Amino acid sequence: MSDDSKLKSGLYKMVSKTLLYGILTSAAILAIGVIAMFAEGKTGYACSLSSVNCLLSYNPMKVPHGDYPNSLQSLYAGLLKVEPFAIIELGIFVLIATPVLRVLTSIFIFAAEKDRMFVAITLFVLAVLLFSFFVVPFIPIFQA
Amino acid sequence: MTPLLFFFLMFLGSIAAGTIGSIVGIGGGLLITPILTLLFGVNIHLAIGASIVSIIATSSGAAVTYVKDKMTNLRVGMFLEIGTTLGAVTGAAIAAYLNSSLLFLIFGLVLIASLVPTFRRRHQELSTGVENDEWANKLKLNSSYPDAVLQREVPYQVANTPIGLGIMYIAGLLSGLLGIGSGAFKVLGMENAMQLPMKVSTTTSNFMIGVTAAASAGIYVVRGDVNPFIVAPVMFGVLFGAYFGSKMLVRVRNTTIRYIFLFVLMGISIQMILTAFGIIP
Repeated sequence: MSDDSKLKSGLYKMVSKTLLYGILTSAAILAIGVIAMFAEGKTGYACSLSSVNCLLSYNPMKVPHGDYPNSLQSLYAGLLKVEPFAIIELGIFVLIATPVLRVLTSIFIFAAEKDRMFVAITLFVLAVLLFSFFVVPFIPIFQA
Repeated sequence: MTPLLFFFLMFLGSIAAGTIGSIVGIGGGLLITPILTLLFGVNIHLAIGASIVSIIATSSGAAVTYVKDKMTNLRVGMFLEIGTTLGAVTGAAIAAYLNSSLLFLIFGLVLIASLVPTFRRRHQELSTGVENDEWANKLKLNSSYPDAVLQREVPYQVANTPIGLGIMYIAGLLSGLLGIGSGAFKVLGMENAMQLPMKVSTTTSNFMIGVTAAASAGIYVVRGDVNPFIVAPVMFGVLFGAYFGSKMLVRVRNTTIRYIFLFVLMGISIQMILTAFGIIP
């Protein structure tokens, strides 16, 4: 195997592994939350588990449009009380973070390969992602 | 209906969405959105919130296999993500100021028009005579993929890279604005404009849609559109489906995938036009 294809294999393996660990972690957390929800028969939030209508409802008049964690702070508060919905939402957050971790991993590999062009490209994508998580949602006009 | 029945039905529907989505490189919102809105009467915003998460699940679930098998072109994917993430953020930003009916109509018609070149190539297993453009040379985008059906390593070059990047910006914009259709445009951009083999186009699109969706996921979470009761069965189903789909893709021909893609594209266009006229949410 040439040096070039060895490096290429390393990149592919690392990216595949990052994604695999990401989805396994998120699915495990999600499973715990779902089992807790059905076993305890509660969500830990406004809607009780017995009313599907309430669980699927959407309140257009207020943000957030439903009662469940919608930020890191509210997620943390729910997790402290071990509420089933908070555990499920944590699994969702881990899933959303998985592609971001994948971008981060590739930056390190491109850096090891001394591929400056792709380090710059990937850093840019990471910056846009972080901007989309920590800046955009908190600009009032986007919170419709 | 009991919560358990909802959970089970959503889980089954999502397996189908994940399987089809992972093969043709789209997120599966095509199936999940109408199941939620038409069958269960769920508000469209919650359906889009669930679709966004399902896109990330389809992408990550199938990419584990596609990347390991070197079907995906990582350099092409990562380069084009510049366009898709920028598009997704601007899309989410200007969504409030645009008439979404008109947008659905325009993009629905654009998709129908883009069926033509793909349909013309329906018998073609691989493109011939494609040469790297200047950008593709500089970025070293050309590569090869192992084709289990043809039983050989298929080398390929990459054309029209700047046009591809432009199409990806539009695909990202669409995903941020409407929450659907972004994978379809990505596949079209790579297979029509950049002349990549069909399997490379769908697997590389699959790879990118996760990052595009992640770029608009934050805003949906904060708005409270990501409902854990809806998303949990969707995520489980889609992850299973994406796993099956990714195992199936290697065994079918490029031409078969193109046929499935054409069929799905037609479904998406019809859905968008019906939405434009207010017939479905």
